[in-house]
Amino acid sequence: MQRAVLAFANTLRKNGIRISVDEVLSALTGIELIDLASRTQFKTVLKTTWIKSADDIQEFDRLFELFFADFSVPEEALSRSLAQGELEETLQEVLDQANGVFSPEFRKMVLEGIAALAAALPEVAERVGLGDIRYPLQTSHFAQKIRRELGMDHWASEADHLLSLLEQQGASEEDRAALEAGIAERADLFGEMIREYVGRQAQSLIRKDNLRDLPKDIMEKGFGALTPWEIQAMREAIREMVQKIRDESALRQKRKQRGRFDIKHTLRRSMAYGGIPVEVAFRKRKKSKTRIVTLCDVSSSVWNASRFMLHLLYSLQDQFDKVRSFVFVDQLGEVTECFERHEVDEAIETALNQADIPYNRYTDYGNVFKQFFEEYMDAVNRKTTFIVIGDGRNNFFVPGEEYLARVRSRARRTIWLNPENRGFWKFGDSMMHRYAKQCDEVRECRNLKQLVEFINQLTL
Amino acid sequence: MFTSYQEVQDRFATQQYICNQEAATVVYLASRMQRPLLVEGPAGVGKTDLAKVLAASQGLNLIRLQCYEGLDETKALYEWEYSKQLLYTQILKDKIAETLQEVSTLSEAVERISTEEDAFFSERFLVARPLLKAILSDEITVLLIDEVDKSDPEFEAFLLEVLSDFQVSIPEIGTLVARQIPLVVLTSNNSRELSDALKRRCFYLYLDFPSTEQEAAILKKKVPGLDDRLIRQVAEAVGSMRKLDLKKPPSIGESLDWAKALVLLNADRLGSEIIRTTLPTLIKYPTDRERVLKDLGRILPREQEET
Repeated sequence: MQRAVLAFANTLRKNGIRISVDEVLSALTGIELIDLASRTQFKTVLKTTWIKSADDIQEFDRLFELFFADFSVPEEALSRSLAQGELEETLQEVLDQANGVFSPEFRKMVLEGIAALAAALPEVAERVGLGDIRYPLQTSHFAQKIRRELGMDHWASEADHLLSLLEQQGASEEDRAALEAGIAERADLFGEMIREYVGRQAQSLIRKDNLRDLPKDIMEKGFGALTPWEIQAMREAIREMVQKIRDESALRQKRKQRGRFDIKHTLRRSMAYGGIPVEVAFRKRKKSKTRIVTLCDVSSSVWNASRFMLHLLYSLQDQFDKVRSFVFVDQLGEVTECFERHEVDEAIETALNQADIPYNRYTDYGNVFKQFFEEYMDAVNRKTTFIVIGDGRNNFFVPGEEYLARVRSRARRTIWLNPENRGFWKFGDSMMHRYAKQCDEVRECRNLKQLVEFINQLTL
Repeated sequence: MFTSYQEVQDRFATQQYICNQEAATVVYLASRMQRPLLVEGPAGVGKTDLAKVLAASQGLNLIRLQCYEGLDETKALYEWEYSKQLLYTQILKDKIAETLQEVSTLSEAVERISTEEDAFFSERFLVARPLLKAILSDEITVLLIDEVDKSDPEFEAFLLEVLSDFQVSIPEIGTLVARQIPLVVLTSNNSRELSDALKRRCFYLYLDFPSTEQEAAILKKKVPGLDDRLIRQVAEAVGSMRKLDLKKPPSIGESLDWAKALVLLNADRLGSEIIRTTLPTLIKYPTDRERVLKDLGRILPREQEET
C-alpha cells in the first residue's frame, strides 16, 4: 500500500500538483488511522493531505480513479484455484522440492494466483521506469518490459517442466491437462492485466498539454505569434506574476504607510497613562490608488495584447481605486460590469460576447475617441490614468486626435500601449506619430514581459 | 478525542450539524494527527459552524480570531498592559525608597534591587490575545482563525510560525510552548490565494453546498413543523437556484430562514405566489431576484407543473 501511495504521489506530481515529502508522510500516517477497506476514506486521506486548492480537486479525482481502478478481469477468474485436494498437495510438494528451478514469480502465480502478482505491479512498473513514459505509442513497449521483468516469457517452459515433474509424481493425465490449461489461462489474464495497467498509467502520466514544456522565452514571444495553447498556458504564468506584483506592492505600502507624527492622537492616547505619551501615534498615509480607464482595441491584430492587459488589470483590481474598461473596433462598448460579476478568465470571454460591438469592421480610432468623449467623459477626472491599447492603425479614417487631447487635459496621465514593433509605427495607415503627441507616454508593448513591466509601474 | 469518522458524524449530529463522510473523515484525521484544518468553500456552507460544532461536541472551549486587513500581532497574539505597568513603576518608586533605607553604598543598593522580583515584564501584565490564549490554555481548545484570506500576507507568515510549532517567543519573557496543542480550524473564502507554505502545513477540506439529500436532512433537523414533501421541495428549489448564475447564491442559513418563513405562513407546498412573497429571505440582490423570477419555471417543483 505504501508503494502504491508513493507511486500515486509521483503521478500527481507529474501532472503539476505539488506534493511535499511532509505531505506524503502525513498521508501515510493518516492511512493507519482509517479503515483501509473503505475506498472513500482512503481517498479522503490522500485528498486532504495533498490537495490544497479547490482548482486541483477535479484533476485529483480523475487521476485517483485511473490509478486505483479495479482490473476489468472478472473476480471469479482471479480467485479460481488451479488444483484441488491431493493434486494441490503434490503441486506444493513439487514446487518446494524443486527450489531454485522455478522463478519466484512463476511459483507465486501457480500457488497464490495472479491477484497476488498484480498487487506487485506498481513496484515492477517502477523498476522498468514506467514513470518516464512520454507517448501513448510506448504502451505496448512498456507492457513488454514488465512481462520480461517478471520472466513471463519463460512461463511456458517452466510449466512444461512442472508438468513433467508432476508426471513423475504420478499425477493423472486429466489433472495435468487441466493444470496446463489453468496455467495458460492465468498467463493470458495476467498479460491482459499488465496491458490494462500500463494503459491506465499512460493516461495519467501523459498529458497532451504539458505545462512543463512551456518554452522559457514565452514571456518575450510577441503577442501575435502565440498559439491558442500557449495562451492557455500563459494564464499560469500570469497568476504567478500577479502574486509577485501584489506581494511587492503590499510590502511597499507597509513601509510607506507610516506617515508624520500625529500630535492630537498621541495626546489623546497619553490620557490613559496619566499624561505620559507611552504610545506614540503616527498619521496613516492614505493609499493613493490610481483610477484606471482603459480602452482596448479588440480587432484581431491587437486582440492578444488586449486580452492579457485586461487579465492583468482585473487580477490586480484591488491595487487600484477603480478600473473601468471599454473595448472597441469601430465603436465603443463598456465591459466593466462583466469583470465585476465573473472570474477573470470567464469575464474576458463574456465581455467579448456581450459587448455589442460589431467585430467585422475596420478599426476606427477617431470615431472611438469621439464616442468616448461624448458619452463617457464622467469616467475621467484628475486621478484617472487613461490607457489605450492599440496599434494606432486607423484604416485612413479621420484620426480624431483632438478628442484624445481633450481627454488628456482632464486625466492625470494618458498612456498608449502599442503591440506593434516600434519600427513600423511610421508606415502605412499607422497614426501613431499623431496620437503620440497627445499622450504623456507611449510604450511599445509587444510581449508579456513588456506588459508586466508596465503594470508593475502602474501599481507604484 | 474522536476514534473514528462515524463518531465525528454522530457527535456533530447531536449538535444539529450534518456532515458527509468526507468532511467527517478529514475532521477526524486533523484532530487525531493534531494538524490545522483549512476549510474553504463558498460563503454560507457552514465553515465557521464546523469549528463551533467541533468545540461544542467535545465540550471544548472555542477561541476565535477574526481576521481582517491590518490585523497585527498585538491584536492576535499579545500586548503589554501599559497602564498597569505604569502604575507598577510608580509604586516601585515608593517601595524602592523603603527597601533602600538602610543601604549606604551604591553597589549595595544595586545588589538589593537585583534580588527583588522583576514584574514589569511578566505574564501578569501580559494581555493574552486569541493565539496566546490558545497556547497558554491548560485544556485543549479549538482555535478558530476565521477568514484568514482577509489578513495581510505578512500576518499569514507570522501565523505559519505559530502553527508549525505551537510556540511563541516574547522577547521580554522567553519562549512560551503550548501546554496543550489546540485543534486549529482556519476558514477562507478564497478572496486571495493563501501561501503554499501555509497550505502545506494544513489539512484541506473543500466544503461545497450540500447535496439535496443532505440539505433536506439539515432542514428536517433544524426546522420542526415542516412536512417531508415540502422539505424535499425546498431543498430541490434552493439547489436549482444555486445552479443559476447568481451574484450571491443562497446559503444554508438562508434556506433555513426560507423554510422557517414557509412554516410561519402555513404553506404546504411551493407555488409561484408563495415563492414570490418569501423570496426576500433567500435572495438579497435585485438582479438576482429578477434572475430567479425569470427562471421560476425551472425552480418550481415538477409535480406543480403536472397539476
